[in-house]
Amino acid sequence: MAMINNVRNTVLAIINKNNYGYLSPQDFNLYAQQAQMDMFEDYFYQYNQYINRENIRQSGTGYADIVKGLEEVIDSFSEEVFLTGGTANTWSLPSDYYLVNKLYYYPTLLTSGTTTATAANELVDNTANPPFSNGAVTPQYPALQSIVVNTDTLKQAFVQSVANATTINLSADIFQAVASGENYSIYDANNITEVERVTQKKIFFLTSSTLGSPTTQFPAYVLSGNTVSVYPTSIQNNGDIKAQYIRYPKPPQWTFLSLTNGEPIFDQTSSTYQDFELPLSDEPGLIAKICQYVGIEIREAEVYQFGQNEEVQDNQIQV
Amino acid sequence: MAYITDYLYYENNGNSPVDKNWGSYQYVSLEDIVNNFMLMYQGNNEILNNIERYQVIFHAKRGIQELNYDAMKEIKILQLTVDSQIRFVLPPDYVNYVEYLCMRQGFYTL
Repeated sequence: MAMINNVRNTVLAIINKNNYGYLSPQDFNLYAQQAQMDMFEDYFYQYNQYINRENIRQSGTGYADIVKGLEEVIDSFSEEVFLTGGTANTWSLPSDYYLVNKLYYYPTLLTSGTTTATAANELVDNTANPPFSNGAVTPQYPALQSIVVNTDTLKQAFVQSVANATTINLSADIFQAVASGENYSIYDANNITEVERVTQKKIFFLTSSTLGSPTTQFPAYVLSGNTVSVYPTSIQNNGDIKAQYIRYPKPPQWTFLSLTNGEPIFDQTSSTYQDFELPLSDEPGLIAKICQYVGIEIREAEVYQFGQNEEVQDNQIQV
Repeated sequence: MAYITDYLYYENNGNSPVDKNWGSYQYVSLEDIVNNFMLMYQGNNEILNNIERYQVIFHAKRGIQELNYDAMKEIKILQLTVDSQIRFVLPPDYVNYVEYLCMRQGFYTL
């Protein structure tokens, strides 16, 4: 069931005192986005607050484990992608990132090359050097579950089995170019290292340090704008760096089909439709916040007050 | 209890290279020390919060240095040729010397 329609219906019911209030779908969508962003950001502050409470033994476990619930909501916005390489040791972050949780790197490159043919869920390379091996004569190579990256499209799959010296069966169909070969790299999935975030102030102290300078086993990065620079600078290949980040919630869109008797009819099948991404339990909070915005729009102090009181009460319960 | 299975130790679970884990019981790697430290001691609910990995690496390496000075006493032997000014370059892991021997006419003397 669409949460956004429930929220809109409730907001319309609250503001429709003496038929004063009318809220256009465009305005509702604007306020809905504001409210969602506000609540989304609040999750991180709440998370920090409850971690501190845990550490002073003021938060429980089991059903009282508030941190677990907050983590689940935040993790629902988590994404993992290989970053697009820029020049030298720089990579671009995705445009929808809110917070980079970690970058990681696979230090052990097993092999790389270019596909010579395309088949569904397969990597075919007739020039593989050394040739792939299914373990019949020599050990399995590359190992099962090794990570295969299409370094052109940055799609990823795992080695499921080695068919023969030139073909590997993959967990996903990541090579789809028929006419031309695509570049690939295969990494040892057991050797993953986190690329550590270092502040701009510290990075050159770190790179100049004899004991602590970044290595391929313990790399580091700095962030400027939407670009990360990774050290040591020998890490340069497309597909080397992967990011796990928290993205922004998508802007909610209450879409409608047509006007019937002056009323827009909700249309969930529209291509631009987007529900709220926060959990259902946030519905009262979203309504309260939207009511505050609407109260200002229709110059109705009571609606604004109602929204504010609801929010204050909700916060008091959580403390 | 063995720290890895026999199959992993002797044959690397059938993967290449098969000798990857041979003799791995001899040392604990720096990577292991740093990873385990970050896993067990660093984090929101652990005893150390707000500490960076590079700080852990630094102290781990300093610890290894100190152990080399005082405890490990790994004695190595080098044969070096003195230059025209009777000098030679000490190796990078030099801590202290045990003895110098000089080769003359095919024999070593103290």
